[in-house]
Amino acid sequence: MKRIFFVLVCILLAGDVLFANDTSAGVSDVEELKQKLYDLEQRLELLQPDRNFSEQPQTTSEVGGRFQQLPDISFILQAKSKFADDKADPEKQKLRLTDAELALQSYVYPNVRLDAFIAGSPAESGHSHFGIHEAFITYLALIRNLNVVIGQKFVPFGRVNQLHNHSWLYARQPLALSNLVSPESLAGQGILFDYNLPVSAELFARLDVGFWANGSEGEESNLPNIMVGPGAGVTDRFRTIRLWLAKSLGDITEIEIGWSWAGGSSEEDAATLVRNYVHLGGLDLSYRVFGRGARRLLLRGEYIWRKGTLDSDGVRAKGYYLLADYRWNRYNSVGFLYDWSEFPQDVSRHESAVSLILTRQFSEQYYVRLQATHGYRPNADSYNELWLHWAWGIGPHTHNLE
Amino acid sequence: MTNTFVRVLTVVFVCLHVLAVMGSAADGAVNVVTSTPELASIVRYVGGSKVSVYSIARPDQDYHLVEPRPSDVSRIARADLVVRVGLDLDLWLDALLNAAANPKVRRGSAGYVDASRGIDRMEVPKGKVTGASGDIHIYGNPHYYYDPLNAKIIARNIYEGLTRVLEGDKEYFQKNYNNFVDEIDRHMKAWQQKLAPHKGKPVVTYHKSASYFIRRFGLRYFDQLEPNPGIPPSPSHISQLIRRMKEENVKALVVESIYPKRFPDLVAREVGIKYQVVPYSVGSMGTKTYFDLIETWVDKFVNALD
Repeated sequence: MKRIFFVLVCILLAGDVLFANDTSAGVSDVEELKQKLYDLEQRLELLQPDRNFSEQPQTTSEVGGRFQQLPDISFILQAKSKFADDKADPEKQKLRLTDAELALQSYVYPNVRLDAFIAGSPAESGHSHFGIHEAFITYLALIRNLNVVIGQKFVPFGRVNQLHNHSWLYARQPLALSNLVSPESLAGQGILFDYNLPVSAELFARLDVGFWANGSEGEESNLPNIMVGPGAGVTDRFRTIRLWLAKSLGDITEIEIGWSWAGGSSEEDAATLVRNYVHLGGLDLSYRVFGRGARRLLLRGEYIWRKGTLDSDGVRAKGYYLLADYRWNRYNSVGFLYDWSEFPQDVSRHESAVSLILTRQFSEQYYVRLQATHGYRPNADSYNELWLHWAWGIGPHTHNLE
Repeated sequence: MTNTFVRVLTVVFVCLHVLAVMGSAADGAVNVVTSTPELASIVRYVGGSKVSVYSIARPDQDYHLVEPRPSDVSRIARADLVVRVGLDLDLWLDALLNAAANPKVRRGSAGYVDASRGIDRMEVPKGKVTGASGDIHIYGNPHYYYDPLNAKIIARNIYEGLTRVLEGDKEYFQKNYNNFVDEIDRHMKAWQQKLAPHKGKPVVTYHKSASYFIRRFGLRYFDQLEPNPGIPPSPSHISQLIRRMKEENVKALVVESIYPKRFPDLVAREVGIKYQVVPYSVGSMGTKTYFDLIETWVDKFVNALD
């Protein structure tokens, strides 16, 4: 009996040891076989010259089912909070959802792309006001070097007018742009010809010519004691021309120079039957240096002038801004903005401000910005503001060359 | 006034367009624009002296965050072939392609090459993808070019693209492609020998860019310093990672050259190891070719794992 028991214990112990060995050997064998199988599959694929590569999709719509037909859909929400010491500012010490943007983007034909941006300001006057900010069709390479855009669009005037506000590097529009061009972006309905001038491979030269109607109106001020410029005020037909030149200086630097012009009129005043003919001009200069990782220094300046036949006896109103923005890694950047602007309705008055801007980029679609501003405006010797700005996005969102 | 304006513009446009057509006809070599320096290096091997290559992303520039530059548009406007990484890594290329208005390299045209075609993709998300997952690429991990065997597939795609735009030189490109494949096979044996003693060993990286490399050489991904792709390292994630690395005796920390060193320094100090920095691109840390890049990766991984 004892012998049988002893033999059984020996068998069990031996089995334990053997199985333990087998298991570890088995795991490494499986791994090795998996690796060999993978290598063989790769070799087989390479040995098949006519293998049918499946085209891997580039747009970010999910594969499978009906939603293959859906366009790229995205939504961006922005909130801003302004702390100010100007008692006349009714926007101070409030947190507002300032912008919501729904984008639908896709191709409708191999060289035809549709972009629609429905946006609004949930906070305005306590009620939502949504509408189509941009909706346009782009005929890509209609002929070599020429794209044609038809629809409603932020017009190519100046370097930053076409940027959506979530792409700005600051919390509020530079004063020169808001007073002389538009509180947000000058938009129109019409047709735009983007032509890349065939100068040389080293030099980018683009001519944008647009014919527009229904330009955006200047925003009426809801700030009773704060003077605001009327923007371009071209509410009827207008035209735009922009010449944009850029050249890379070595591997890591880029310089851009732009000249822009826009001319048009307001609609006829019902009482006086007179139109205000407006001319806008602009010069812009940008300089970018790129470094390791996401490091980038941007220096940008823009000078804008506006002349309306009914404004300030036809005297030209001017404004400019200077921006420096340094991103030292993919998460953080610091900016400095100085802006100065006259008012078209009274060129003897002007406002100016200096701002320090810090941005923390949490992901590609989420950032938080802090902007401290010290400025001067008519009716207030000086003021201080602190902006807190959040932007959140979901879904694939793309823009044209910015 | 308007009529004169339109007439002048029309004349200017016609003159310039004639110049453009004449200019493009006068060009001789195949102008290739790639989205990254790795692709540019492989194009040089396959295209040889018949191509002139330009990479939009510069060495050591984070490929997820490339700011398209207007001067790149003029290069694409003159390109005969565009080669991209795909899998949503270089989405910024689309803005440049659209702005360039060059029908030769438009998506689907003969001069358009998506180098990811035919790649066995890793880490393709199975479930829903939201911002909570970080900056996830929905078609899978796009850093497939760090696997030298995938370079053969890339080269094959480039070869096919080049023969589409320059059919007369098919044999020349075929010969170069074969040479490249042979060169990869030759190097591969040495690289596998170097890493063979470390099979199954765990590795930590900053971003999940080494998945294909790790699979190829039989190593094991332990974790990343980023809690999710594109999300900055958080103190809680880092402290957990340090604890787990200590518990499981993980010694290899490899950091891609573009990432900040603050967190790698901290982890290395706490775990008591030395981390290795690998070149992010061809052109960084003294590398000149694709083979230099992989060679350096292999050596640095060996150093980290030893």
